[in-house]
Amino acid sequence: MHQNEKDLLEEAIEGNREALMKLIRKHEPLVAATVIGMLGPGPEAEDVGQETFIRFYKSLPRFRGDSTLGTYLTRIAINLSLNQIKRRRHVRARFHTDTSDKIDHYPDLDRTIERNEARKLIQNGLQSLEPKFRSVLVLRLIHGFSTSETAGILKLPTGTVLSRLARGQQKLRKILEPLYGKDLNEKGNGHE
Amino acid sequence: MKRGMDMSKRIKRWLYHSLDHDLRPRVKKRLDAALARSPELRAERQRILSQRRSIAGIAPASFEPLFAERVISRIQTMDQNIDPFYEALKSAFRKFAFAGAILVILLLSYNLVKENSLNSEEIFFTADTTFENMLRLPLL
Repeated sequence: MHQNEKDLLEEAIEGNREALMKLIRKHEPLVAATVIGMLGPGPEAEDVGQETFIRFYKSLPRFRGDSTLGTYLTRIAINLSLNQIKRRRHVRARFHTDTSDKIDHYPDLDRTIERNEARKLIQNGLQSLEPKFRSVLVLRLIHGFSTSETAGILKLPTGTVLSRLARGQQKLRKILEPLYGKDLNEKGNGHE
Repeated sequence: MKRGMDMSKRIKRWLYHSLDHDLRPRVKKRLDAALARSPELRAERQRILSQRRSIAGIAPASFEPLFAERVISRIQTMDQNIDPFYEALKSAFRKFAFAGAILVILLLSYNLVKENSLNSEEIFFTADTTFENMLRLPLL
């Protein structure tokens, strides 16, 4: 662990709010990427993001530093997001609304697809995947965790992570291709 | 025909795996050979890479502004609402509950060894407890 981060952690454990604030600011992008990748943008993601740091705060005295703080926070964020997805399904089922996790709104196909819109589409596509595929794609492709780190965070064998990664990407492509054609990805990634 | 299809599936699987994990040298050699042979496979690889870049590019850098301040504010409210007496009671109860659970397990084990049964009535000394007995008890 980085020395500065270690110092901040020690100060936060001793009750220094300023140190805690610095740690939150430092790791906010990591948690945001995980939670928004899993749940999509919006107040729900913000709530889960806040809850991630509150759980972290509560567990501060017990944090032994076995894993890096980033990995530790990502693990909390992923677990809370998966719980939220379960809760969401439960609420949907209870109120008999549309239970599909599929994209329920497609922007006008005639409009020019701008990069931001393509991003939104990919985000929607990601949301339509089953959580088990979504979580590996978020950790591996958005965060850039290695396959073994992803396996560690999700407590899965590496082989399972590899096969979920492959199947997740294939499923996402199947969702997006019929709507926007094969060149969507080029439009969305900013490398055109 | 089927064998050809299986082979193509396998190569596609290797193609995906090669982007996330080191393949075994023998497998890597076969994949490289297949890539060198097939323009379709090379195009497929480009499509996969492109999609991965797209996914990587969707991550927003942060939540709404002042996120850290909102978290700290929630933590402060939470800390203010913690009643020290209630917390002490909760922690003491946890110890009692734990000790009680251990005791039940010990009694169950004792019963199992001695009587060769797991009768809860005997463990909790309620074998003779009937509704009538319970009503009569205070009068005695």
